[in-house]
Amino acid sequence: MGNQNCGKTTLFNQLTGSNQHVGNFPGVTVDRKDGCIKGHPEALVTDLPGIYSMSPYSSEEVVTRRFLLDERPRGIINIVDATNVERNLYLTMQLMELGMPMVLALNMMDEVEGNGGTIHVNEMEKLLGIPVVPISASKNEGTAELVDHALHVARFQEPPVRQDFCAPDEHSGAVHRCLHGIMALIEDHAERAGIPPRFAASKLAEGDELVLERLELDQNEKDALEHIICQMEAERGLDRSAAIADMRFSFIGRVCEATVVRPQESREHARSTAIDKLLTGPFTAIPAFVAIMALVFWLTFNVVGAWLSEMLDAGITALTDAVASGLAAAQVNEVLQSLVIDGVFNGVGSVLSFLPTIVTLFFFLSLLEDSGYMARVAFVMDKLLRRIGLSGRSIVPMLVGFGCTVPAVMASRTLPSERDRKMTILLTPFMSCSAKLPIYAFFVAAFFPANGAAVMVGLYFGGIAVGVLVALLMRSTMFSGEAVPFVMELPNYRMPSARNVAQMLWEKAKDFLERAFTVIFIATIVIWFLQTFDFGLNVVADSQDSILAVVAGWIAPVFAPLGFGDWRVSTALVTGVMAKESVVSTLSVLFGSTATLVAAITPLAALGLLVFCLLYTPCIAAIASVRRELGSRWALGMAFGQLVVAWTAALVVRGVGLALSAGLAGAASLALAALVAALAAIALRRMRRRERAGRGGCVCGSACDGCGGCAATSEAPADLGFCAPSDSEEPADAVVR
Amino acid sequence: MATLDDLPIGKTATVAAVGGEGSLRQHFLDMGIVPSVDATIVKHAPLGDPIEVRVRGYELTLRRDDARKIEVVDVRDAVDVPEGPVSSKPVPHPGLGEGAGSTIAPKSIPCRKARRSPSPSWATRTAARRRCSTS
Repeated sequence: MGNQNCGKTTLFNQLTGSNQHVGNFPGVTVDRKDGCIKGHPEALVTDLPGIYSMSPYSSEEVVTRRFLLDERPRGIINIVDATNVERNLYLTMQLMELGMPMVLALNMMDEVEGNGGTIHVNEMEKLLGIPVVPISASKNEGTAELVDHALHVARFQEPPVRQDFCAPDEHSGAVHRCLHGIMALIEDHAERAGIPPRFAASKLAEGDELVLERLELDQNEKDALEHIICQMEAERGLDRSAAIADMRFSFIGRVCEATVVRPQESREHARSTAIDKLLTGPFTAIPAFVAIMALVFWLTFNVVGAWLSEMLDAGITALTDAVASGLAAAQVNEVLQSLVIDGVFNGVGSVLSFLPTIVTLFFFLSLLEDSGYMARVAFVMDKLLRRIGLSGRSIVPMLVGFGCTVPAVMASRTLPSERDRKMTILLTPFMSCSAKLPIYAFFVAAFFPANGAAVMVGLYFGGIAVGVLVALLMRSTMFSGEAVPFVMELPNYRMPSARNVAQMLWEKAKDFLERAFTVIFIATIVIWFLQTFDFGLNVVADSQDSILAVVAGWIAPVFAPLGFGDWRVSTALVTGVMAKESVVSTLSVLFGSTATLVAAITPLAALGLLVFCLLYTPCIAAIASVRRELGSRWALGMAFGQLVVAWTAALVVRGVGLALSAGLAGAASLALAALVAALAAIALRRMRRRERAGRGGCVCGSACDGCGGCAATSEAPADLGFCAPSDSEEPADAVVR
Repeated sequence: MATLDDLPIGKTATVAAVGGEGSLRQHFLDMGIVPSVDATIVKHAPLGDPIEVRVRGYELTLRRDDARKIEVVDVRDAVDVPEGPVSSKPVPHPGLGEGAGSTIAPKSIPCRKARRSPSPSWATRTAARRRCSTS
């Protein structure tokens, strides 16, 4: 356990090598990694998410608390960044209060010593009361000793020697008395609830709701508790959370003063500052960002990715041919042959051909993330993204979505809050992915040969615009409530460890392959079945009679208001759910020639169709990714929601087009309609704002009697009783559970 | 009273009060922004928001709206040397041998790796470590 960016993952990889299993904490999109320590097959180690404290707010912290209190690991390895001891020890102190056997690993000691600093480890051990082991995870130094100590304390269950950090003489011992008083009060409850008493006391003094609930105190005890805490607040002159934080930091200050010798300025920091002058400078930041992203895309699609794709394609074709001739020679049933070749190989093959793109994009993404550049991007872009309710970190997954939605969804895992993750994942499909490009190219060549570029650019920006609109809509409905605080650390630039990156790539590739061979495999077979047979279960000669065509024919009327109610078009759209490239191939097969197509649909309808293709359900690989991150319910919801958005947008396009072609009168009525819509939107917003102001207006600083509905939105500096904390994470968690 | 987002680049101030509510406030406190700590404004983002602040020796990113909730006093010019523990001179330690701090050529950690036999209690290992001349 440790802060973010302290080298946890590197250490975990060193300890476990390749025997890791990546999973998920149930109910939240938080990764969980388990593995066995190399050479100690009986020792199981779990990598928990990087957190700064054990507060009850974010899903990472809640998940970690639950893990520690419920699953009861036999020991904790706390990783501390030696270049940043003060802040890292904050978490350490909270962990020590748990009373679990613990070892402190001082990581990045090589950096500290390389810069002329040092840490008096023995002194620190004495002051903290737990073993302290200096290591350098990236150089794999000290890890063996760390493992020894860790296994030792776990085996003999040696708790920290001291858990009492409140100085009895500081500020006349107000905090000290408060904490000991609480401990005396709740000791039996804590034992029953299975929470270490010191930890519970600390948390209660901070005003932690989750612990309070779990202890199940009766009203008298709650009143007594409140009294003790209020007294401390009065004596200290600070409110409860600040008082406890201050106690911890003053203890940490004393420890650091005695043990840490800091260099003037570390080389790494100087280097980072220099690089940052370019990457976050006022005029150079955004051009640099654009340049870097352009480089990434170019490398992915034109260089590395293209090369790998070709190799993979060639391989798949060769394999398909070999199997085809093999089956023919063996005189296997023709239907079965068709299933294997046209169905499985074709379908899965076309999805597998994404793999190089996905892996390459992900490689670059993790390079940027591990080096520390992503934090800078978030820093630079935050202001723009705040307007739509997201934070700066979301820009990169969304940008990657222009390449392929799958790695973009995978990349959203790194976002700090559950809510941001969900919103970003739901918005990514609106960024037109590269597989849709052939569709645009095809239609532009057929219908708009003169304005090709304008149409394409218009489509891309249109996608972004719709995405923004949907984001604003989501912000005021599903994801309303405060965004998680954007207080982020800017770590020094680091050279990403090749081993970490390779490990992560392998995991993601494995994950995608697994999905390809399960969900996509089945989907392919289903579509093949629908395309090859008719309702009498006979093989069809003419694809017009197949089940797919008939079903598409039923769906076709839905598209009639949009101007393309032809069954052939709806068939193509359905196959587009498999892979977007299929739309073009199906259209060519069904229509025979471009001329037929042009004859069948008007240019306006073609435009509507393009908009529909831009916005509707993404390919099955993307849906599977979303399903893995958010669950089936959200994935289906997204698929359906996008259909609705696409349909509406295409309708709007058709309406606008028809109105405009009706001449001046049409244009006028259009302007009027737009004005009415705008006024309605403003009126709605005004109403909402007034409602919200009315509710939040009664700040319960004084008696809470007047405002019955004040529960969810404000938190009092609680003098009397507890007001519910404004916890925007809990509703989100509740939905997920 | 002045707030953190009022400060121009390069100024240091002492935090007087930490505002905000719920998870935001707890986040401030957890990241080290408590009353009586010093904060220095390092830079602004190209678009003006957020700002980068140095606290306790590391850099934090804060949105302007959030920084507005932190009250500060005693605005002064930032010192070039980054904030650190009061003693930037080495603390002499009997028997540990690293008294000269930064002038000792850093010995790499493998020294410790050499003696690896597990003993009954980690305290004994601590005693063994004292013989090593690295921290």
